[in-house]
Amino acid sequence: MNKENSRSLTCCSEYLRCRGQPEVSAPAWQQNETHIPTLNRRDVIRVGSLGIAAYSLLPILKPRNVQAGTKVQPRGGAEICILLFLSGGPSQPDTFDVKEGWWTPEDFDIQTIKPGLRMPVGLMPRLAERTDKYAIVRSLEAWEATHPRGTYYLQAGRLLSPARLHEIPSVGSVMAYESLRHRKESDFLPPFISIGMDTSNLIGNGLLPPEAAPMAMFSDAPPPFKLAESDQATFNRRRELLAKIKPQKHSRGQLFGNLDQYYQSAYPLLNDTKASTVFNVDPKDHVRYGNSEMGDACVIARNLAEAGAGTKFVFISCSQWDLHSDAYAGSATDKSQGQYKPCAELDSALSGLLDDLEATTDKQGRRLIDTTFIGALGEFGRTPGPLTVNKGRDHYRYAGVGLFAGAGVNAKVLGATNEIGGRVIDTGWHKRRSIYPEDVLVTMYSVMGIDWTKKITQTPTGRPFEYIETISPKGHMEFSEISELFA
Amino acid sequence: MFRIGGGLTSSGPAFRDYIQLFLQYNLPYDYFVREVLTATAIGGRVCGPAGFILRDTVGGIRDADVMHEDTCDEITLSVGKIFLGVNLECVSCHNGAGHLEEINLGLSKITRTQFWRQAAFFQNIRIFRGNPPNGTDYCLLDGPSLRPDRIWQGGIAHFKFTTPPNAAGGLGYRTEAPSVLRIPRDKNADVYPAYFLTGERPAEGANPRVELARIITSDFQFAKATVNLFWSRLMTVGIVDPPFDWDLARQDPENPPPAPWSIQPSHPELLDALARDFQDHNFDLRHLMRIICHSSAYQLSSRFEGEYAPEYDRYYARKLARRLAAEEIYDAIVKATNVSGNDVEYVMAQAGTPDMELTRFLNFFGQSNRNTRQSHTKGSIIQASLLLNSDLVKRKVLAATEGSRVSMLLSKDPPLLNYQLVEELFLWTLSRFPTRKEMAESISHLEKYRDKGVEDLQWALMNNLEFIVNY
Repeated sequence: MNKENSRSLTCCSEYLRCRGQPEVSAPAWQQNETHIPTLNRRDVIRVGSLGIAAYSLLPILKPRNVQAGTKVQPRGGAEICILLFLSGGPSQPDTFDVKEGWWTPEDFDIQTIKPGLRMPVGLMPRLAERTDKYAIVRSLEAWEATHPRGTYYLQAGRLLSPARLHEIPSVGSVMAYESLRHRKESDFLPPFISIGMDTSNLIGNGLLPPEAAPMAMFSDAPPPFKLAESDQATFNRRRELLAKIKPQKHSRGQLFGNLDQYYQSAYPLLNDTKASTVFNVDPKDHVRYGNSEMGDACVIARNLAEAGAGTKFVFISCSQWDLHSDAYAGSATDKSQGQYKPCAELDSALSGLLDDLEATTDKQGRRLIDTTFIGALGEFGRTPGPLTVNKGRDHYRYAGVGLFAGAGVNAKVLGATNEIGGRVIDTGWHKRRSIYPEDVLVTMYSVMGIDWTKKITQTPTGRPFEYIETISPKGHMEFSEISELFA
Repeated sequence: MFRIGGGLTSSGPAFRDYIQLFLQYNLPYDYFVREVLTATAIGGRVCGPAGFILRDTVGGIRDADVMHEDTCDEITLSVGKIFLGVNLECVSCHNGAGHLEEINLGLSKITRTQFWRQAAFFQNIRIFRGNPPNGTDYCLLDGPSLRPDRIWQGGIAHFKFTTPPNAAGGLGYRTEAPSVLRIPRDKNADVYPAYFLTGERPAEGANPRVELARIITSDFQFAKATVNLFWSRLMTVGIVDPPFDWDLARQDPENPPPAPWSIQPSHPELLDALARDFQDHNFDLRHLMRIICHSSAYQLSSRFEGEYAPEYDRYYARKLARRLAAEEIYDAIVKATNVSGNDVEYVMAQAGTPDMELTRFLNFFGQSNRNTRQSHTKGSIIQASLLLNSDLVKRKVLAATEGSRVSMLLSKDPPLLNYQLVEELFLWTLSRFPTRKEMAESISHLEKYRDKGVEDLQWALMNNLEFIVNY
């Protein structure tokens, strides 16, 4: 493609508008095809070897155009990363950085758990009992203050650029891509699974091969993986026929090859009875995790961690945090609205997940909590102090909270904000500045053993793709792992 | 075109019906543009064309407020993009100079004041939110035609301008008005309606919206942007690509831009010829599509002899394969199997309520909800498993399913021979004849399983990638 022609408008972050998603349609070659020549195409369906994982041929992957930057030592230790995306932006002064004022409802029941840690027990009783299981970061700062752009930033670790919209992969896809070379025969699950996230806000594989694309699902609609016992014979017969009449080679462009890869990934899921159990939620777990879609998503995430079958990144979107109005509606006894609702859902779901991961061990006898990294944060915080005229809180990027657990994270509180939760006054870590989304992504890459300074030089636009850029909206910035979490 | 925005939620069905009728009657496209740019409505629900402007309504802090200047800006962005192919987002917040020199040469010369002047064509509109008996709706009026106090006293509950009306009776476009922009407007800017491409101003005393509609539809750029948009949809890559990112300083091959820039369109002469033909044929969209589809470029095979390189896409060296949209895939399933169930249109009209299985099917294949979810044609594992293992496909290929293609073919009298069955299924499902190898394999399968085999064959053809790709 002619470089001049591929140029497109780039938005400037400082000129943000409260506007919906940018409407940029990419030509179909960008939407459907990746031009990163890494994979040889698997042409032949292996009839009769139905149990073979679709990814089994992937060791041939030779990422020749991936280069590491400066030498860093990823921490490693995690097998899987679960990110609870608190979509809409959770309110830091009402939750994990609770600040009391005349506006605070009494039934938030704010108590001192230990020195330096007060929690709204009325909102999150279970998590208040488990403060020894996770770390709270109170010095988060976001770059963006609108949902589409903030949501993008958290997944991509960089500003949304319409020109590169279709080649920038999400952090999940990078993790998936990095894992492809290590996949084993028994790895039957997709490496990147997204639960509950609207597919148009979900960033996919971009320039990476389709094997690194997210499998987007919703916990209330399990994917149709379960092949009924009675269908088995018919299915095998049909698939045999399909293999015979299917063209051996695709001479009509890469699109066919890409779409075919999805088929190759679907077959093992259809044929593996384990796959359908992984994605189904046991009714008892459903109740224990809080009777919510988010709870169900966490049950599935636990199943994925337990299965240990190739899933590296689970992205769970939990909505309802965008409380612009009536944030204090509801009460500690009626948790169906306001701040009470999303907090109650997070309370049960995350507690259930932490408990189960702690109580379960893998084949090597390791506790799952020690090999699973969990993060929970939103795209930004909310306006501090008293509620707005609409009895809510609006978008706010200068302060926010995040929760981290597992894979060596020690329970603690990092950072502090001023008396209303509006400015970071103690950053709580070695960089002595607020913690940005990039730092969170670096931490995730690090525990997953991925060198975050890598870059891919061969891209459709010709501009290199760096896993983590050192260019921030504020200019040059060195991003770092939040190593204090593990100290 | 059919994107839902803030003000369109109530008027979506009317807007949709309006577009459908317009296409059905094949009215001239410039007529459509004039109508949507000049529409007034006492309720978007009862006036389809008003939806185009209403959907760009920008609310204030309270839902009932309408931010007048921001609304004018949003409409202007839509007009620029959809009718002229020019993305004015950048210059809606700052001058092009100092920002866009390396991105868009034409836009780098546009100032923010020019953008405001363009937006000022809409300065007399009045949008307000009313509460008619069955839900919220938006009203779209032209300022001078109504006395504001009449509206206030008319029993409409929430009615508040963010800017007081100006002397002319309209709202005006006031640069000191509050804004959702982070960059405040320049209070001293001299803003009056003027077309950003030529500086043309509306005639004295004329309704500026009517004048804008006239100016746009008579601008050659309007014809060019429109034919390019249709070309890009049909051919997957536009002559100017992406089709909403025109750089107007890089169009004329006689007058090339300075290095390192190159001419933006891949085939500028073709673009001009198509646009002229579109104008000469009274902006007839069907004629436009016919002429593109009859071209040898469109008719090319997607096969390519020799080594193909991605940069050939720009030269249309072969038919560029495109995955069908979600709705097209479902339509293809219905067409192939002759089993309909709920049709797509019904599902769209009843968003979310009826057939959840179909709704999810469409969702997984990338259907847009026209608001928060944009359509896409990416593949996924779940899509593959839906085609392999969902009832939507499995049930429709059964001979036992009433009216199914398979049952019709099997009950023909005299009975079809195996090779005829294979041919029929290929034609109904993939719209082509089988190759010799496919014929041989299919016949041997049918000889072995006959009726079940016919079901198997249609299932296999629907899971052949050709089924979901336009190639």
